[in-house]
Amino acid sequence: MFTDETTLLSSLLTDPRMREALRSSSQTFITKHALNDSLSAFVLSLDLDQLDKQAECLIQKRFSEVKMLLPRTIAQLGKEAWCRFSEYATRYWPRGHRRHLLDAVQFGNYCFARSQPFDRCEWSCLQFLLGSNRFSMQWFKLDSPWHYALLIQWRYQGICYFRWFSNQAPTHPENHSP
Amino acid sequence: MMLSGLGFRPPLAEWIRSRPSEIECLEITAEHFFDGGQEQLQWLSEHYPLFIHGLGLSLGSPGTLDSETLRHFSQVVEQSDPMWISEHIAFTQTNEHDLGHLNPVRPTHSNLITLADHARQLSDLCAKPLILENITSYLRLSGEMSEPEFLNTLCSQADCGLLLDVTNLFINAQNHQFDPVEWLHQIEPAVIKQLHIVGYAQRDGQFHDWHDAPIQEDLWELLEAVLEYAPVEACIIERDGGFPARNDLQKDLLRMKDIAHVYR
Repeated sequence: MFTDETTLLSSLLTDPRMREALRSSSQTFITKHALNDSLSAFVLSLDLDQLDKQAECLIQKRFSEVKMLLPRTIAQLGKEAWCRFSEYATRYWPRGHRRHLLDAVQFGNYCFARSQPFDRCEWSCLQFLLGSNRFSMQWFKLDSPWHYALLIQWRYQGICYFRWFSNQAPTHPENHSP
Repeated sequence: MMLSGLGFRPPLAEWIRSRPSEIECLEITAEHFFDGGQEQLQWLSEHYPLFIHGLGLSLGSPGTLDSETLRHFSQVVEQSDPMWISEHIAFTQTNEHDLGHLNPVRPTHSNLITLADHARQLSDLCAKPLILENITSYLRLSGEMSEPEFLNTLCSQADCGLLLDVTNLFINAQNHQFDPVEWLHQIEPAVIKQLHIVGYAQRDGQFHDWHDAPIQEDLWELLEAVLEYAPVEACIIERDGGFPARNDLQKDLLRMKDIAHVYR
């Protein structure tokens, strides 16, 4: 039961099935959600193409943030990256000021659960950023049996630092600010 | 005199720390300092005039503001002693969802009351002047008044100023086909206190606010129109991507200062 325009609009923007239902029959949509006169008028006044575009923009903005946090995973996913992300993103809306980090970690989990390409090392960096540990040291086996990497992370005055040692070219950022 | 500056972003930190003369002020995104970085914030506040900018307070959502976000925001303000604070004329969350980015509110009397109440609450809590920013949106919502009328009334009722995002105005004007200068001239000039500007992007026949490009010529023209019209006190280049961008930013800042000398 919707009581205000903002909550209704928010649901429309986050749920593609609701937008599809509205597009297929606005009257059925109004009846199903028992919208009052004012909310019915609001729904009828919406430009549905613009609504779809705004909803897509929200996912695109999340994707661009996640792309910066998981560059290797996104590169490994290649052309599939946007498809996989948009598939994932409508099911999970992270909350709060750490939402981009949460989003990236969850997207990593999503890829891992579906056996999609996924870079465990950069995912671990994000886990460290999200946590409160002051120090962490992890070994990673890379793409071949003789390639290993050591990831050392520490937190100092609210800033997290990363050092990455491997017998492959370094591809990770040297530090992340809060 | 108008101050020219940048939105502080970690990839620009080293350059900013070298105190280049073209950067006269900085805008800090409050959320970036919710989890630490107080030493850095203190250094910045000792060396630059600051403005604190909010992203996630969702002033346009009905109901109460999120108390945790408010507490974090006011702590950043207290630690940095900015000249003023700013937020958006938008909603980003409801009780059910955090949409993560800015969404439009309909220009209605009811939304005016919500926004003005929340704006006054924020300004009172932080004990700082507040300015509110226009957003860009693919979704255009019609209401009980025009957007400029809504903004003028909001600034008057909330006793706040306007942070006019020149790029957002330009993008909305292109995507929704209206004249940005005509729109501008409907805004009360005295309320326009600060500006945002950054290059736009174009794809699939639409304009986008991806914040990763140098400022284009048509934006400079609109900036000049704004400076000719309103007593702007500060202008911030809001670059979020396409780093390293130091050369672009230096050029844009110098050009901005030249324009400001003509009009301010």
